[in-house]
Amino acid sequence: MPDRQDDLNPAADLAPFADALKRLAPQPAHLSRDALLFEAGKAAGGPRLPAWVWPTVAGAFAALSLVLAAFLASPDSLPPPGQPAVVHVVPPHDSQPIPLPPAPINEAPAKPKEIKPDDSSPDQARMLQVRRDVLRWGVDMLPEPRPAATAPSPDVVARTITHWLNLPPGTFTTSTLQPKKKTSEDDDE
Amino acid sequence: MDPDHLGYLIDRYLPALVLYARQWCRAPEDVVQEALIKLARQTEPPLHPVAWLYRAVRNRAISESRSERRRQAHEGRFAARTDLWFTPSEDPANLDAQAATRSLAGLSLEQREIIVAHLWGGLTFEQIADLTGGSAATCWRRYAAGLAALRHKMGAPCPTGKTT
Repeated sequence: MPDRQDDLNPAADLAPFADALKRLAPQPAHLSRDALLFEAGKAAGGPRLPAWVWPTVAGAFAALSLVLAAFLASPDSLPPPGQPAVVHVVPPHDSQPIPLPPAPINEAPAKPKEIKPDDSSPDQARMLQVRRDVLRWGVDMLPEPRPAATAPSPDVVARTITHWLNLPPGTFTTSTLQPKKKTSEDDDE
Repeated sequence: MDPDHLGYLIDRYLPALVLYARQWCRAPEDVVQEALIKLARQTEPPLHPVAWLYRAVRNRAISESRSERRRQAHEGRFAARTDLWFTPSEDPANLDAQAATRSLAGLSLEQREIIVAHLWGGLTFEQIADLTGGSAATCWRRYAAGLAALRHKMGAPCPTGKTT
């Protein structure tokens, strides 16, 4: 950079005093030249990053390792992809033991149970007697049907048909028995 | 930076840099040492290393002076109570070092900074203007005014033989 001090030198009478002042030597610094050069060389060859960078990075990775180890040690951790998951099912304490499938039985088929007339109820004995008479003498031996005292209600009929056909309950329910949504009038009452 | 160049800068400018840093702070050697180490750490050496050094010393010395002020709650002119700034000369024709120190310390900081940087640091007024944030003409006016005030304080004779 060019020095323009000569162009900016209007006070020529100050120049001798400036020269005399310039001849005064500043006090020497209390610094060792060799030590200063050594420190400068050490700083020039040292790391560029601040001193706190690497400890911070090491601490962050240590914390990450702890978190991953905690995930690995937890019992409900997910299996790595590609491996089947093992699910441990703990049965409840109050449940019954699971029945094992029956083993094949190499025994003879069970004989039909004989019906003993003496160990049945009176109605059953009477039914057996009627069957025996029908088989021997024909359908004329059937007893006269008793007249129905009262016809079953439509609700009973619908429930019976539903039970026979194994339909969901309420299929043949009469409209009078179906639940109704509450109306405002009902609420008023 | 080249070690030889750094050694030359130390040999040539170390006392002047310490004198420059002394205008602000109490530990000028530490400030200059940090500036030199900072210069050595530069991957790209500056275009004007001397001007760069003066800027680094100035910034660091101002920061250090603020820290000293906070620590000690010290008011007043720091430069007025410092030790001798110049080496006493055996030649009676030279100026008195003690009087020069006292008179220089009595100047304002703006004038003193420019005089020190120009006379002992060899910086041009453009470089000083870049350093202080003014114009070269302003630096020159402050330099001339400060020099005149200094001559008046030291009682140096004018070229005409009169004391201004």
